[in-house]
Amino acid sequence: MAAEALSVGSLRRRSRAGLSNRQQSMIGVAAVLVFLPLVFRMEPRNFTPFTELAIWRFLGEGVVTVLVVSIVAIVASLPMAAALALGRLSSQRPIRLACTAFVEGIRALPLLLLIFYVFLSLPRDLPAFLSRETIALTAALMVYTAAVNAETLRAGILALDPCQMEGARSLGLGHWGAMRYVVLPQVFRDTLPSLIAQFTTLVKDTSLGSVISMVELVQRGIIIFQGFRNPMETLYIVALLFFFLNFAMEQISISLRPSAAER
Amino acid sequence: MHRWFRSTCLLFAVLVAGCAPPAAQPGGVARAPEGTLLRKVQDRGKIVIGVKYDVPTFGYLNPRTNQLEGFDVDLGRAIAREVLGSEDRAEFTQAKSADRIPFLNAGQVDLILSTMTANEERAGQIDFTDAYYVAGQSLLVRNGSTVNGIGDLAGRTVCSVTGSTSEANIREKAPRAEVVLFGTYSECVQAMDSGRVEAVTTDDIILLGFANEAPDRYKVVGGQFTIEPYAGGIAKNNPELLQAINDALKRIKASGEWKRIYERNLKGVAVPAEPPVDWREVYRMRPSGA
Amino acid sequence: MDLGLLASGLLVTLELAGLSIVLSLVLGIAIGVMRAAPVAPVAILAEGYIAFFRNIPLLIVLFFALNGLPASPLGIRLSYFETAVAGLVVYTAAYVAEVVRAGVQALSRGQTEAGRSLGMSWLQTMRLVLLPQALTAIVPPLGSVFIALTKNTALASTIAVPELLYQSRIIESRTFNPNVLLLTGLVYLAVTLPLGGLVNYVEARMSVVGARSQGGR
Repeated sequence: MAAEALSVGSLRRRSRAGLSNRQQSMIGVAAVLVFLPLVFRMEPRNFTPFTELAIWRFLGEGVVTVLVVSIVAIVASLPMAAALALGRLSSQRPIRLACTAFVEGIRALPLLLLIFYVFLSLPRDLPAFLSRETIALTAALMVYTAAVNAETLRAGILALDPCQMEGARSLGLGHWGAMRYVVLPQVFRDTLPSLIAQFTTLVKDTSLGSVISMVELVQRGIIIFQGFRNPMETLYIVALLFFFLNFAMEQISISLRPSAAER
Repeated sequence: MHRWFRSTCLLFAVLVAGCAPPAAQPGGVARAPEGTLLRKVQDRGKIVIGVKYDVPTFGYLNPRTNQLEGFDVDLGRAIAREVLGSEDRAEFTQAKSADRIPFLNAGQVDLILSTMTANEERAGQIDFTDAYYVAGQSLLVRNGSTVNGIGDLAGRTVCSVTGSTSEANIREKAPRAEVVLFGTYSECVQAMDSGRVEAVTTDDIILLGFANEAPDRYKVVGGQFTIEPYAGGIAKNNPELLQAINDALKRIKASGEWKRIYERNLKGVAVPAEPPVDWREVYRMRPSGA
Repeated sequence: MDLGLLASGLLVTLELAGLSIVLSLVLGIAIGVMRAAPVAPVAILAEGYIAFFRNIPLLIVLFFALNGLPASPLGIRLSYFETAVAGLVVYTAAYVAEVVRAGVQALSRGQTEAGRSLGMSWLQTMRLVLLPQALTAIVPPLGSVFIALTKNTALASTIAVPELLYQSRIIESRTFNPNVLLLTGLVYLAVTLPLGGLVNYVEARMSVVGARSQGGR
């Protein structure tokens, strides 16, 4: 669940069978998807609810929720992540220590605990047009993602050629101006694949919303199988939806990878 | 999502109405004194009710219609009408079993109608309204079975689900029965089909679901041998709201609406002659084990 | 506040994490080795396992284990604790396997050829030549995976395992004080931060080039 964004890597390598890794991956996943219903003795008649358009619309709203919460959380996390990354590189000791403690502390906590805490300590009266669960989940994911992305950005800043900073300074930009206009834009571009990989983690982590009574994708699955008494079949469909969402994200991430390497 | 949508629509409606605060509601109860929870509910013009979203027959977000339905939901709407003048003034939110008491105490909901059994332990943490339904454990057997109640179970096999309260109850009420445990009640029913067990036990409402699906094969026998009165929950120290809701429940029961809600949601179950009132009274009138 | 509850929860969390680390290491290495196997169907199945379980939420894997294991033909009946271990192991093994695969593939092809030319079978080469080298290189990324696993044990609270988060929610529901969770957070930090420090220490000691990039922390 946490920052397990392992490199997608080595996609161009070809195996002896002459299939690319991506093709192998697709065939393998297809095999697993055939295998699971057999192992768990899923019954075709338990899939009949999924022939109804209304059921897919119901799940579709869950997919939209997952995407909206993930996008809002990751976009909102970036300024905070950048601030934390710069804070950790600050020459001021108190700032550096505070940012380090915050980043390391948040990353070392279970995300579910963070979500519960935010949820339970929200003020009593909130604006009525957003549910408490949605606010709590989005805020917790935002803070957590900011801590993880701060590390990615910090590594990106350290990896950037110091000449970039020196060059910008020699052009008359101040330290912050150079950061703002020269260093950070390049760092964002270079770390984009990692940031998108983090988005995959985020999409999976939205499932924790179901634990605080949010009606997202997993909770919708639970509602469906409680009504139709088909837990395995419904969970299978929901797992498929998550898989394809993330698969699509991974494809986007891969397509962005070369452009970063070609700079 | 549909809550977002609804609440966005609501926001628009409020904006269009010139940000006017909700007008005094016709038909509701008289305005409560400033500072009480009832007054807050009246000023808001909404009563926030925590219900289950995944328990068919009581609180269920029907995926086909995207609408909430069930006994608790219907009752919640009726209470909103009695207290605030309109059924539309009920706003529902999901309250899972573990969240019910925390939600009340955090002020996140005004009322819980979420298949909650009233008991003394919980009554120390929250206040209960009058009871509105009595759930109980019963037995499902095959038609033609000689088992007619828990008294007949000695030396026979009865099936329940691992770790359920039903399991603990049947061990206590029928200590000489042989208890077989499965993961789900469907498996228990399959085991009964193949003759491996003679009865299945859990809440009567679940058993009635099986009996109604195949009335030619199964029947529910033995009445309720445990008693679980369902009641609404509200945060402690809000006598005005508690009074208003209990008054509403009395009117709903007296007018026959309670009976209609019962019939609509618990199809095939005989409506009790008298609706339950005080939950402590329910325990006294039908001592467990009867 | 009942500190005894928290202590018993911590114990369950540690048991859950310890058992899951050992079992997911075993399963993960097996799948990682299969992934590198020269037999295409084996490698492809392993790849499918890795790709599938890394892209679905752990919560779904746990629900799958909860509902599915008793219903499968094997009819496996597990306690909630065992169900949580099963779910965590199946999920984490995919990450372990990915790390093992990357570690083995990072070694030069010459290693395999040298092993084979000495008359060893593929499995012997893997066991005696490749894995021992790869394992030292993958210790830091594995450490990251296991820290994530330790944090993920908190999800067991959703299937009624009385671990740390579950117990602190019980205390919270009695005291209505969400700050109990801050204390619980400190307990988690006391477990995960030393683990992270250990990983960093090992990483610094070995300073294996490229290992960090695979750590994904």
